[in-house]
Amino acid sequence: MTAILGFGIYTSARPVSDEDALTAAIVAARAVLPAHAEPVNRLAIASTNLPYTRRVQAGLVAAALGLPLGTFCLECTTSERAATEAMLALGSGLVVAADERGAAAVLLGPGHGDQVSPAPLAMIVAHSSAVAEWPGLDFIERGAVDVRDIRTPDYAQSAYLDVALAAVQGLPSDPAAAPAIAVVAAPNARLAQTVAAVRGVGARQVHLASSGAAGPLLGLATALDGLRPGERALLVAYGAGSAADALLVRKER
Amino acid sequence: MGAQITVPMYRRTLPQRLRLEGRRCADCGHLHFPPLAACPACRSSRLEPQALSGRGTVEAATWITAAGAPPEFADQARAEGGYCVAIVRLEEGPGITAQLAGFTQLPRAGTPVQAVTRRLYTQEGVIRYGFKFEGREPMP
Repeated sequence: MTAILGFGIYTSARPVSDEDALTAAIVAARAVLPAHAEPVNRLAIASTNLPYTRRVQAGLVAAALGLPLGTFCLECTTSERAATEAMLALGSGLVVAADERGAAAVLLGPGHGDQVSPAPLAMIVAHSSAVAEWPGLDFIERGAVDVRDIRTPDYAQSAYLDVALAAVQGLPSDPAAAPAIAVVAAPNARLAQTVAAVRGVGARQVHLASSGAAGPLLGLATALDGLRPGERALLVAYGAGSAADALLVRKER
Repeated sequence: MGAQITVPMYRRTLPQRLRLEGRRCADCGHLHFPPLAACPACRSSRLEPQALSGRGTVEAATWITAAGAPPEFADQARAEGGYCVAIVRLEEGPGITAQLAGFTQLPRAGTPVQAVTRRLYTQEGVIRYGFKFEGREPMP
């Protein structure tokens, strides 16, 4: 299990010329770090619009935060699934998901064993992932700028359901611990409800994650605010191409 | 000709640009920003880095139009119709001249501000990041 120690949120009312994904990431990260004493030496950046297409960019965030030179860094940048990809790969440390509208930072710690984090906000009690080849959706060719898509809704829906349903079905089935709320990244609300229904979440408790790399984390932070300790949230993230992650998160305090 | 900040020079100044790292004199305790090689109060070279909070208040502010902007900020001034520059007195004492972010009109003296990391300009294809100050209270 992984402990969620806290969130830092930054939303930008309007894009301005002197902000980018990295400056937004720094603001969100600064919002979560001071509240926690744990030293951070693992950092992941999740974004589909970092300023450069080639070079390590986590260093700017690390330098702004004053993280030690020995910090391990990870950059997940190829799809809107980047945030959960980073969370699951990093395990513990600081994950910052950022896009042009804002950023969400989440501080993760060990959830079991000798190093268990004290008083976590929530725990990731289970997760499951899926990947399959679905070409032609939401892609940028090397050297190009514009996003391309074959624009075939039925095909895009099949690609989404293929991996999203597999990820959610891969979670342990426990009717007594059904999620109280779901935050689902999906092409539309109907598909989000279809995926959440697999774990018994009613349509009214399903929230469509906003688009962008930060969308799933922003949605999870809001959803946890409304839960009581012991209740669970289902988080589903999706990246066209296609891959999906499903996380079951239990509110602790 | 605007300020030519080479990439190595920019890199050397990242602690002050990204963390507002000043220096405190180990002999007389004077805190200064930006960092200098010797204490401006007692000339001692025994200096230790100290990150500043970034919280401060506006002492004075002025509006820079495209005609008055240095070349590295000319594009920003043209795109935004100008920008605001202020002298900010930090809570720890030093005064800093910097751009303000998010202000559409000149703030009054005493307006509380907080340093934020922003893009400044691009030179040699390298984005230069640094600090600006934004308001700590909602705009009126």
